Formats: sequence, structure tokens, C-alpha cells
Amino acid sequence: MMKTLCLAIIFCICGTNLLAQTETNLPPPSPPSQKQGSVLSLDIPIYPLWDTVQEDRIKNRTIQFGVSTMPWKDTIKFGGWPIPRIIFAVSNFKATVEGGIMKTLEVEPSRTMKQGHVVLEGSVWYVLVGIDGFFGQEQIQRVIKIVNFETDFRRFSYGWQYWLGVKVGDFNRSFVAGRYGRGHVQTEGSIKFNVPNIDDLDWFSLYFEEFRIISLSVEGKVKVKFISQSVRLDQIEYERVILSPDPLRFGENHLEDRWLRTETEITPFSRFRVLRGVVILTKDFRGKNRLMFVNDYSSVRVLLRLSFN
Amino acid sequence: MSKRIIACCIVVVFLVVSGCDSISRIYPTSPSSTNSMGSENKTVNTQENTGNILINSGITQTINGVELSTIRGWLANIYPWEYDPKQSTVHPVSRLWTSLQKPSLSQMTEQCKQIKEFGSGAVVLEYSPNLNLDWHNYWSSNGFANGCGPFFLLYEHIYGTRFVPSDGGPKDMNNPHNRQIFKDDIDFMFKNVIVPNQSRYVTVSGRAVIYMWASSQMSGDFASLLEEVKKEYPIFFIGSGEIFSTPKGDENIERTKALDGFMEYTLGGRSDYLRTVQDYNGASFYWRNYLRKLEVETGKRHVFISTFQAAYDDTKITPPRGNPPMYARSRDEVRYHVEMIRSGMGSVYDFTGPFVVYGELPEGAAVVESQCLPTTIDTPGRFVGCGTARLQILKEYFGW
Repeated sequence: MMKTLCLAIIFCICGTNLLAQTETNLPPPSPPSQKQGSVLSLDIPIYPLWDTVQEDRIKNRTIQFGVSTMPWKDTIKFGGWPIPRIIFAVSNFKATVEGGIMKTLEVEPSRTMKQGHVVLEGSVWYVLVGIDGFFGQEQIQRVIKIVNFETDFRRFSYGWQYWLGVKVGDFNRSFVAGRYGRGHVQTEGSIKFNVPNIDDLDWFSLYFEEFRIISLSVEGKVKVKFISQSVRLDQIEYERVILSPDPLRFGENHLEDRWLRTETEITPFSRFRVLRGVVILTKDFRGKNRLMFVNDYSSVRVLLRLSFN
Repeated sequence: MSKRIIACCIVVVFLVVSGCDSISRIYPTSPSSTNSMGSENKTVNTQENTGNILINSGITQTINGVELSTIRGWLANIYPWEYDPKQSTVHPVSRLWTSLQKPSLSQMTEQCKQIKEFGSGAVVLEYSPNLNLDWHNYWSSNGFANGCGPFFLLYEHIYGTRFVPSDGGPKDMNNPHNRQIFKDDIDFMFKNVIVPNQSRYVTVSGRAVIYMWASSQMSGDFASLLEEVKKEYPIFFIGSGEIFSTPKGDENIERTKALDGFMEYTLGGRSDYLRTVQDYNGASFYWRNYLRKLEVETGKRHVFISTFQAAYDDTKITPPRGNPPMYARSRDEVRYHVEMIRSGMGSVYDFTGPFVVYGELPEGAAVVESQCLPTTIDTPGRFVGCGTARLQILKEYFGW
């Protein structure tokens, strides 16, 4: 199913791309200083699968270990309010805001997820600077039973990073960019017992971890008449701030993520260019340690886009 | 033109991504995990972990006892004291203890039988090397509670001691007299209790466990004394009264480093049981994090054993101490306490214990089978747990 979908998308991209080249005379590439019109997009996810950490890792209290030999990732269907994304882009500035509240569908134990993510970046001449920040909270009802009582699990994470890079092209059209960033992430997991006839019990910390992060990314995007295609390769290294003296008891001190993400935007109706479809494919090469902090979309993400120029 | 080149490059990369199922077969999910495990182990102090004790002339280098990590079940603290009903808030059944007497030989046998029946894995003997107290002779007379299985000593270092002051704390361990008494006490315990009973004695990596119920009361440079003694004797010191605040000041920090483990004797005498056990749980989490930082710094892994407290009531002790009595409002509050302990074992606490006061009657925490009197029966909003109710909870959770 996945391969069929991928092939269909590739076929569309190649076909549309060739069509675009034969039909239209593309304008010459713009110099970085030339201003382009602004683009405001609202993305609404229509594919409900999300990646999260396996329930056993919550029960074993090893979420903070990150990817290890133990099973890690689970894909779960979330529903309720979707998590929309708003993107505003002009030639030398781009802002992305994404967030919302979701609940699991048809899955026990029930999970509620709240998260938000803001990215701001701008360029002067070829120099790119940017910052991003996120928070995420997930609560899972009655996930651990010790002997007589069940517990709810909650995790809360937040983090930020800044970066410096190089960009050639325009955010709202086509560009190539490279980034090097640094930042900080922290996460805390807690449980609360459900004891009959005893109310207002405390939440107890299970773990609290801080990481320094170093990120590298390379991104390219090209936009033609009816299609836009971007590819981005990301690498993030996580270093524990409070070192772990024993990986078996506290996890590894150094963790890494590396993933490749492609985003394809198709404008199916030439007379109604506001409506677009977006498919985002992600491939992780080094596990998915970022799930320690927040849930993430599964490897396929389909969005409905309303785009205003 | 350049846009077309960029487009071609992106499409090529896209095609690679689409076929990346094969890539995942080449690269393992987490190649870094095993490599970094190896490098991290370099920081561990191998001498601490292997129990490679320095050889000293005339002193056994390793105790061939029962390793703490192999003990399953709670640790029962037992006492050579007389039961004084006027000063006690727990009243043991006559089969186990006679009024105004120490447990007889047969009563100690019965206590051991009960302790084992309800899931204890080892006993902790309240002990003083001060022969004036006659506790040594008491324990010798019953073979150091030989019906109870593995044991280790609670070294009474606050009351009835030969330190200055002899009763109460703190003890100034910069005082040469106190330093010498400490060495003499350890020497006495080692030669007269540990070595003769080593097949039953509880050890950590071959080092005999000695528990100090109020190590925080040993002020001054106690750390260097502990290290000095550990060079001469294979002893593993477990302290108490340390976990509720992060140590401040060089002497406190060094004492914490020099101790080998931690196990609270009591959770205190506040009036609200629920608040007390929750605060203990929170403090334990922060203490484990503190020990983690110490382990990174020193390479030494400290043991951390949990403590169970059924109640606290010292209102009959004369002269009055002024502590409010503390009872759970219901059996479920006690269950909640043990549930939190069970939940933390293996992460916050080591997978040993918890430590339980079995027979200290004046402070009301004892879990020994007790008489259900009008003053000790459960009432609405007050769970005392007379009879074997406290023991049954322990068995339910820790009777492995």
C-alpha cells in the first residue's frame, strides 16, 4: 500500500514536472535580493496516523532512554481536533506555526496530546538565521498497574534552538539552504495513582532529562506552476545535560536522529489555485529519538492546503 | 535553467527516499547503543563494584555472607528491648512479647517465624557494642536471631553510646575520642558478630552491611573516618536521615559520598499520613537524581533502599516529645504508600526491601502482630491495623 502510494506520488511529480516544463517557459531564476509576493498557507491534516512511544516503554519507565535495543515506536490513530499548520512566507522570511489538541481513536489506553511548534527564519543576503520552539504534553489514562491501583502517565516537554545558515533563492518560490543549530530540550514524565476514595493525589516524577542539541539540515525546494517539491535532510544530536553513569539504568548520553523528509504540493485545479494537496514522506535512518519529547507524524502525512498569494 | 537542475536533484533524492525500505535493512535501528554502553562503563569505579577490598594484616578481606541483591522480601528491624505497655502505642500479642520483658528465646523464635511467614527476606538487629546495655549478650543468647535467616546490624550510634555525648546527637566526629570509639565499635562488631556469623551476614560485594539509623547526626569530618575504617575492614555503611534535603557544606557532601547506601529509618512524625508518604516519594526521586550525579562524579554506585511506615505515634513516651500522632485514614492510604514503593523499586529505589520497623513499640510504627484494644482498633478515618493487618499488606506487596 505504502509503495503504491509512493509510486503514484512520484509518477505525479515527474509527470507534472515534465508537463510544466513543456507547457510553460519558466522565468529565469531570481537573484536573492529580488522580492516575491507573500504566501499564506493553512494546512489541515487529513491522515490521522501518528508515531508515539510504545506502551511498554512507559510501563518499563524507559522513555527517557530513547531508542535502544528495546522496542520503541508505535503508530496510533489520533482524532478529534486536528493539528493545523500555518505557514507565512515571503522571499526572505518564513514563519510556521503548528499546534493543537488530539485524542486517540479506538485505542486503549486513551491518550490526549497537546503540542505546539513555532519556527521563524529569515535571511539577509545569503545569510540565514532562525529560531524554533516547541512544547508537548501527552497524558495517558490508566496505563500502568502496579498491584492494586492503576496510574495515569503524563509527560511534558519543551525546547528551543537557534541556527545560522546559508540560503540561495526565495522561501516562497525555490531555494536551497543549509543550517547549523544549537539548542536545549527537556522532558519530564510523571505518574498519578488512581486510588478509590482518595482524591487529589500528587503527580510523581518518573524521570526528568535535559539535552543539549546540535542540529544540521540541508533543504532544497523548487516550485513550478502546478507543483512544488522540497527535500530536507535533518540530523540532530542529543547530549544529556545530567550525565548518565550507566546506560542500562539511565540511558545513553549521546543520541542521534537522522531523517529525510520530502514535501510535495500539488495544485490540482488551475482555476481554483487556493486549494492544494500536500504529501509529506519521512524516512528515519537512526531510530526516532525525538519521540522522547513529543509525538510525531507517521512516515506518511497528507494535508489539505489553502494557499493565498 | 538552474531551477530545472535543482528540480532534477530533488526528484533524484525523492526517488532514493521512496526506495528506502532497502536502506533500513542495511542500517541497524540503533547502532550507537552498544558502542556508547562500552565507553560509559569506563567511568565506573571497578574497585567499588567488584568488592576488591584492600588486604589488611589480620583482617578478613571479604565476608562470605548473603548478598543484599539476592534477598527478596522486606527487611524487618527487630529489637532487644523490653515491652513497656505504658510507653507503647503498639501492643504485641503475648505469644511474641511479654510485658516488661525482652522477647524470650521462644518468643524470638516465634517472631522470626512470623517475619518469614509474612515475606521478610532478612532481619536488621538493633545492636549496640556498648556492653553496658547488654544487647550483645541478648543477641548472642539467641544466636543473633538465628531463626530469622540473613541479618545485618543496626549500629546504635546515638543513644546509650560511649561517644560524647553518650545520648542524643549530634556527635562531633572531629573529636579524637569519638573517632577512636567509632573505630573500636566497628572492630568489636566485625570480630564478634560479623565474622563469627558470616554465613548469614548480609553483604554487598563481600562487604558486611552496617546500618546507621541517623548518620546525618555524625557531624564534623566523619567521611575520612568512614574511609579509614573501610580500608581496614570490609564494611558497607548504609546511612539514614540524609535524603530529605540536598547536602550542603563540605562535611555533609563528603559524608554522603563516603556512605555506601541510604535507607531511611522513619518518614517522620507529621500528622498527615498521606502528605508524609507522598513527600517521601518525592524526596526519594530527587535523592536518586542526586546520587546519579555523585555516581558520575565519583564512579561509585550508592544503594538506596525504600522504607515502609505503617504509622507514627509516640504520644505515650515520657517525657512527651510533642509529636502529633500519624495514622492513615484508611487501609487504602497504606496500600497507596506501598504501591508507590513497589512502583519505584528498580528505578528510584534498589530492588531490595523495603526497610520495616517490626518491633519498635514506643513510636507506634511496629508491624508486629498486635492486640486489638479499644485504643488500637480501626475507627472511621483512622486505620491502625492491629492484629496482622499491617503484615498482610507487606505480604501482599513484598512477599515475593
